[in-house]
Amino acid sequence: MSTMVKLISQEGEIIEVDQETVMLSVLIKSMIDDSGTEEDIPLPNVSKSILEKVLEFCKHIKEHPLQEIEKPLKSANLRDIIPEWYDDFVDVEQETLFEVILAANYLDIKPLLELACAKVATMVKGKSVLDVRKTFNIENDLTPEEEAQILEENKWAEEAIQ
Amino acid sequence: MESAIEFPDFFTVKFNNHAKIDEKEPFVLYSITVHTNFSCYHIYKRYSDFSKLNDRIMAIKSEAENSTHHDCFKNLPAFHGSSLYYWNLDEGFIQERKGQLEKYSQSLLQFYHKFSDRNHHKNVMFKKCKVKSYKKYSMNSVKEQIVSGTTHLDLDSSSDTDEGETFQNYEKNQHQEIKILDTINEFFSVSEIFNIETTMTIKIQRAFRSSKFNSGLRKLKKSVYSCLGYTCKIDQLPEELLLNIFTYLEKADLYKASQCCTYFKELSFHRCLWGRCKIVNQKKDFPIGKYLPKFLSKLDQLKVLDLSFCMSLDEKNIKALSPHVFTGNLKELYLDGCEKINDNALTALMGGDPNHLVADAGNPHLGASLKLRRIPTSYFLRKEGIELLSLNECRNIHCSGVMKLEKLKYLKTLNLLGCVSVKDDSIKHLNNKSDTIETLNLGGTGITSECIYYIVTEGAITLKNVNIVGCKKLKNSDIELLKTSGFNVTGGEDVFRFNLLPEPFSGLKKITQSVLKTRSTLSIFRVYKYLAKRLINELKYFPTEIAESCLDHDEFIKAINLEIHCHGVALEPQLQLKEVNEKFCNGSQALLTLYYRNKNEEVKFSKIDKELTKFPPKPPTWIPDKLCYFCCNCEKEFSFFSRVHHCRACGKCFCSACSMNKIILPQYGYTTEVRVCISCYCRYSSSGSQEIPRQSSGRNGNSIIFDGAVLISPSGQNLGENESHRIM
Repeated sequence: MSTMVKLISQEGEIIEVDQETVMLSVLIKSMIDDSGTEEDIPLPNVSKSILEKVLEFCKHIKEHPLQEIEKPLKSANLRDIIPEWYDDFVDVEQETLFEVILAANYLDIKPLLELACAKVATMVKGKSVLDVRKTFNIENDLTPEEEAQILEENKWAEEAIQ
Repeated sequence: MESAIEFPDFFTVKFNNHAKIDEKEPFVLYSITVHTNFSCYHIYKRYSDFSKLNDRIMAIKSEAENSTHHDCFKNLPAFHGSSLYYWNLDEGFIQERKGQLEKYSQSLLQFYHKFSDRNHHKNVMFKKCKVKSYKKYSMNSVKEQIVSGTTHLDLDSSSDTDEGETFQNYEKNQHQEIKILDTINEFFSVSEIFNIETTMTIKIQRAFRSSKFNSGLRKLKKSVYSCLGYTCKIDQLPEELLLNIFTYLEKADLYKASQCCTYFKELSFHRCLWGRCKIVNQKKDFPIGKYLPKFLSKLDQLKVLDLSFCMSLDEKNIKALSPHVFTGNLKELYLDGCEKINDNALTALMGGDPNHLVADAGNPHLGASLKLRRIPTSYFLRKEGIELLSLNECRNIHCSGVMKLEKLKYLKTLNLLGCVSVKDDSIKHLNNKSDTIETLNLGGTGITSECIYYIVTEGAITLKNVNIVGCKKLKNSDIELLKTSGFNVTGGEDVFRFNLLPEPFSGLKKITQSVLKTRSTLSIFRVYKYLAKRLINELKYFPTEIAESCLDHDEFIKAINLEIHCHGVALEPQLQLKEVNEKFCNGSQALLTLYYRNKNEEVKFSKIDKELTKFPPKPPTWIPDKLCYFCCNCEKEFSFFSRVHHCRACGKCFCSACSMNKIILPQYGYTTEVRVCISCYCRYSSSGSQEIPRQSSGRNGNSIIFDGAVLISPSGQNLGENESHRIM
């Protein structure tokens, strides 16, 4: 029987998971290596809902390995590149997605980080500047002069550079 | 969320590390781990925070002067005021201040514990008080509180007052105490992080990153972001995560991203995103000179630059490229089909100073000393530089332009396909100068049989692949010659695959043999020179067996000696000799024999020799008998009748005549007289004046005569490549 590990989310709730599953996280792995599975593992930076989502990913990837996503992206639709389940997994609200990225970064889970980052990249790929600003609700803090300068510099490059 | 909860009645703090935050007025931020009876978290404070805390406590204390309980404030710890060095960011000062602050916090918390215990003992309201909860420091609720400005205490008026004291009364008396507790509590709770402005977070992150406190950084980052209340937006992602996202984008998308906002603009030109870059432009009148310099100045880490078919690239605007050629970052440069590139353009491209590499090598000290000595750059510098240069279909390039390419010290592949004006001379010249070239694409060039003969006999030893497709002046016999000499020839009637230099040294014997058959004596020396060079670098991996098989070739020994010598002079003497020394001890012992066989050059090698004999306490390793063929002094061959003797002082092999002296060697633990060779006898014995008998032997006739004056000029300057060729 495999060992269970107790993770404590930001809210202080305890989630019990299989040790094998969470070993994907380098952070948790090093914590277990340090102090064993007996002790609870506090994860004050990950909320419960995100932690559950991360664990869902960890469980799935054990049985359905995910190939490394090629850089740069071949298509703006992740479905063309990776299995459907993974695309559905990251097809969530932006806020949740960023939280997943932060959590994956904090917990040091490379495949999840890559997947979520690729998802964000698809939201930028092939879009116009205005679309990108709108999608991510980015404030345009460039002065008109700066903007004109970038446009001038980049006009040739956009066409010429591959 | 509302729940009955106690204050944390237990706090401990530990100061971890600190980071210097580079604001207008720089300050130091301390990372502090706080343990409470609920949880453990990190807070980030600067000195002025502590100062403010102290001010507040003092204010409360003065309020309490008249109350009945004022005596209990006596125990409050003293705070170290700021000193003259208020802006001192010196490491020692920070450490000292850190210690003071830690002490202060700890004694403050002692006071806190004592206080809350006392109150607890009195069975006062702490039990009953209702806190609009920050149950286990849930960020959202804490934030709510801060925003709404509610206090932590929401007193329950229905509480029992067993001791007969009315609640109001108690509150009055205890008011100041509670205030202090509250202040302390607030100070050490996570809520304080809200005081850090959002714009600051990135700076803080950077500061922590640069101070290499990764774990601290990770925690800080996370707490900062969670404190932002989970309204996480893409431009609030940390730099490295956003960069990671950008790596999935194509160049055109990066350009668009750069127009979104300043943060994106900064990041989208980050060096890690621009390793490889192709510029497509086929218009003849395109003013590439206008854009290229600006563009390249942004991207200093470019590895591959493809400017194929930039028709407008000419000798004037190619200058923008020239600084990149010698910085060591650019590895591949494609200039295929750039019609306007001519000899002058190549000269301009190579106009940079190849010694720039030296100065740039990272270690300024090393750089300076190397420059002083003017050693061949290919020896010790970082092995970086352009490895591939493609000039296909640049029809305006002539011999003089190609000759300039000798400055590229790391060039492995050169494509000159279709450069019709390139002739024998330049290819010969390149072959002569280059130590690294592996592939030459000479298709369609005007090379003749003479050039092929040169490549086969005296060409660069590293050369493996030659493409001669469509070289009209070549004959079948030339192709045959190339093939039989072991080149990968493309473009002849057939493609032969024959690896000249298989991986490291396997098959070295075969090479030696095949070279012996097909190449002139001079080219054998080239092979040996190459091997010797590698040998010095990879000595530990050099199999004894092969070293032995090379023993019979005097040329090889010459090459090795030359190499050792070049090394000996070129590197810092101390470091270098130690290195050679170690290599000789750990590496193939056969080399020692090789080396000492030519020991007649006593004068020049005496320096190395001296180092080799300076074996620390333990006696020197003896060279195995089976590797000793000659006496290291008189070079007499060992046989049944002339047995091998080892000198106890240097470990080398000698005949009995050359090792008849005996002395004591206390430094090696020999307290009785032991056998030493003549030179060691002279070195160690007190008389020391005995002359070393030298016997000439037939073998000496072949050994190379090093001309000391050439190898080491009086000023200590080392020989350049040219001289070494001359010696050969």
